[in-house]
Amino acid sequence: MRMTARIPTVCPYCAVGCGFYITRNGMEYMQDHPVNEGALCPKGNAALDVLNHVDRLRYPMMRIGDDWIRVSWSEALDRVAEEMQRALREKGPGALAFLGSAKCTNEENYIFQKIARLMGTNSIDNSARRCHSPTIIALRRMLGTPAMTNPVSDLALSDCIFIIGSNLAENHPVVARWILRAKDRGAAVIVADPRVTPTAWLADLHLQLNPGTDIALINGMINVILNEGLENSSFIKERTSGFEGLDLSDYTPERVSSITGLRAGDIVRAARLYAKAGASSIVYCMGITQHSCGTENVTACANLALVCGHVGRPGAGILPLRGQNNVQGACDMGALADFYPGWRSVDDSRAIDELRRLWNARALPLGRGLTADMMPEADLRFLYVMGEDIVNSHPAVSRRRERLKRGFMVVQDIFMTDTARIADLVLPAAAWAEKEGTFTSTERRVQWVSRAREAPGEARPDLWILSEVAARLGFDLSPEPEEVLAEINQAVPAYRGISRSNAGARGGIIWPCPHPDHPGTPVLHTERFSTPDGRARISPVHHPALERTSPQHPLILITGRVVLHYNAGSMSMRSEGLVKREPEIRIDVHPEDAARFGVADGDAVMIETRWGRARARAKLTPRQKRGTLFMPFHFPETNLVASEIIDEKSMMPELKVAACRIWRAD
Amino acid sequence: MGKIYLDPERCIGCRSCEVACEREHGHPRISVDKVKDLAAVPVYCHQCDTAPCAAVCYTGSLRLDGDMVVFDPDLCTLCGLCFVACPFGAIELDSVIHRCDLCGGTPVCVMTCPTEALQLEDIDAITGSTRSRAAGVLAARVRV
Amino acid sequence: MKEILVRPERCVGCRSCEIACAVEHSQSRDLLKALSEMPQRRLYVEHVPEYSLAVPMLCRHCEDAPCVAVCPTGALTQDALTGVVRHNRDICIGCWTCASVCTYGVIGRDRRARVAIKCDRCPDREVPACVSACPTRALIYGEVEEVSRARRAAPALKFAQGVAASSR
Repeated sequence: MRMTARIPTVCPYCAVGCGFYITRNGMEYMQDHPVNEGALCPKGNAALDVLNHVDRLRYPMMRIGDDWIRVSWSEALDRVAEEMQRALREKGPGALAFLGSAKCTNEENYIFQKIARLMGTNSIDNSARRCHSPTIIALRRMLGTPAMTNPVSDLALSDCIFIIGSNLAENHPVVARWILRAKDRGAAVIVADPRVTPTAWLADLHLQLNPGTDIALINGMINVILNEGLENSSFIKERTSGFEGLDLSDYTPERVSSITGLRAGDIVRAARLYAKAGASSIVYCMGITQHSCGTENVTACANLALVCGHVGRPGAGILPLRGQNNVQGACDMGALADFYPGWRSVDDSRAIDELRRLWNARALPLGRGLTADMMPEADLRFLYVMGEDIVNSHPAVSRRRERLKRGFMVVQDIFMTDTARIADLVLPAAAWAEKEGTFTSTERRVQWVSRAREAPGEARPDLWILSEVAARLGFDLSPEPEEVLAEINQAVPAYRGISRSNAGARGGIIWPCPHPDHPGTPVLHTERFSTPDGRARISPVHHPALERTSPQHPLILITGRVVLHYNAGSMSMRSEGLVKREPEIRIDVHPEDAARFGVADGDAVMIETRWGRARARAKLTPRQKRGTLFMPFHFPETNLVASEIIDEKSMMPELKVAACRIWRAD
Repeated sequence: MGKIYLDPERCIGCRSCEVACEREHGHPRISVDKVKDLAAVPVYCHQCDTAPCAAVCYTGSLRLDGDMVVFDPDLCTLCGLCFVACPFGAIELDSVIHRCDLCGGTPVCVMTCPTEALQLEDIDAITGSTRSRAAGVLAARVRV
Repeated sequence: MKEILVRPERCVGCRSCEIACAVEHSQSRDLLKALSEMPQRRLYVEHVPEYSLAVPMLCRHCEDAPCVAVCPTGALTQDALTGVVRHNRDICIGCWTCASVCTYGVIGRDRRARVAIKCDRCPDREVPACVSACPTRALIYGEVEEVSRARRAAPALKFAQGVAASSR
């Protein structure tokens, strides 16, 4: 361990990728980090609570009946390999499944998916499935690169920022910093969200639309833009294809007004603000992706940007805000059932052959493997979960968790999560600050994180664990992060020039970085898009049939996050400073709806969707839109009621809308 | 050194200031009030130039010193008059007094605030820049 | 009620208003004697080079004054009749919340008394000192309705002349 006074690190929580220092006794702010400039949200401020927590897994444990027995590493690792090989032998590669981690390093995810593929399966997935899988599908098709086109700090250069389906003020607070800088310069901010969130507080125009009507709104805006001749004709002509197929004449302001519940005048105003500004950005998140039409929603957002030519310049871009500290990286590394490393489609045999040669493999599997939601239904004999509490992060899995363990289940994590609790073997992993490697933030920024603390007990870095498992399977995979990164240079074109040296500099390096001296690429698509013909593809999409309310379920449930907690809560719920400020689940209800159903503030209520029931405390608040309710999904109750309807293109569950009813619990 | 100032339009109610202050001091000296869920305002010590907390402190434990109000815990009798006197409610008391000392010069709440809602600044610098910005806006309108 | 209205296009940046304000609020109320007191002004002439303008910035005694709303002690109050925002130095605690929320940045800091300092509309005068001192009448003191009416007269006349000409 180095004896340096303070060690630079990157926050393990969300994907903004804020930097700070870990010192011997605590933390210090990193004021020269290009994204957060020293600032941190409350979770970042509490990040160190995870490291020394008493709940940390300290040694490998095997389940015997209902008891956990401590075992040695060699016994545990032998067992992992044995069970994996047995499942392969008895039922073939289709009986194996792997869940990668959006919180583990790029090197770890790369090795993990490599093991899965060398064992013959594409059934490897990560939590991106429930987050930005529609972004991956839609932006890859339309722009060529499935990622944010501009860096976060670019927002300060925008003249108009259109935030749709994102509550960034709570979920990516540091992004709000840059939006406020734009406002200081006179930029206009439009926020489309059914709720009056803290993000909406920043808006010059808040469009409180009905849940699930985003395509109608955006098509309505494009309709206005085309009618008033505000489109960017030269951009459309020179840099896009497919514009001729865009017939949105149906989406008049009046019709869109009746679908969205917005005033026609506001739709027109939003369209004019966005189109006429010198540089406009679209920022979006789960409110766009977590729908059965999530892929179409993302497509609509990109259409709007392309029609106005607001892509490929500073301050003008499409910004999907990713969720986890390394979800972008886990996807870049191919920990996905539909992509190999470097965004090679599982159906692209020619591209996959490059990897086959690099890995010296005889053959590599083709075709989409099992995605996370499909795993409980499959006839699995072996499931290896690395760093994800899938039981608490996916409603379908949550409701049918016992089916995950039809075969042998290994969970590698830092805490005994609810997922680990049902496993057969639990492997203690090192946390982010106890190992080395790279993490890729939402803006494609690759940053090296150095070891600042010792892992507790016998917990080891995931990379070491995977390399030991691999060795027992007959694969020689290095446990050294720098060596793995060197192989990633060859496997992932956008990472070709990335090394510890440039990733370890202040602020890391933004991919694509094609060679070691390349400065990185903050703004994408400046000259051409990464599609085969270099043009972006405009694709018409239409307002779909909606999740409908009924007399039995007259309200719409919206699920989402709150600022003090993080995803399934395995980390944030163990942080006293965070838990005391947000201790329990509550359902946000508009006072008028509450009166309708006889609910008072603080009452215990039952909520029911057609998927299930849960109990929570009601909180009456004017910020909720009439006819809708809100539940934060950091608490397990929300999984009991969330929808399982899937967007077939991306396998994303429709987490943002579910028809429901509430009544006072007695 | 300056004092803490709030730009109320920038506060997004994230409570990072609270969490950071609590981490550094054990008990937070700043707290964020939600106003009907439609706005958020941190409540913090203003280091008032004629601070009532110092005015009522009969032992001199809290006293004015230049631009700050300084606290000597050895002189404190825990009478609680300062807690009552502070019009902001920025002083709390249990077995000891919890009040802000600007972290000795680099307040963590200011450093950590994601939106720069909290600043450490001299009031004249703040009013000066507000004034010249407002004058610029007026001038632009006149010249049109 | 009468207001102090500003016509920045007439301001030459002489700062006579600032000096007059400071002198009016000194003990001696005499220019030469006041020099030894170093009294503070309560209005500020801001230069805006991009527009080649000087803009006098003074307290507007806003109808819905943010300074009054935030004052924790009630030192800032608004007279129901005149609308003048008054500041009571005796109960001011120098917390500077008023100064930080003032949209015009015209609440200052009395460094000696350690309290706020702001325009009081010269309660002892018929016409505020700054207005009297202004050589170009960039600052005028009058009823808003009367001033607006006067301003309407010239363009209304031009409009009428134009209409008459075009109907001939």
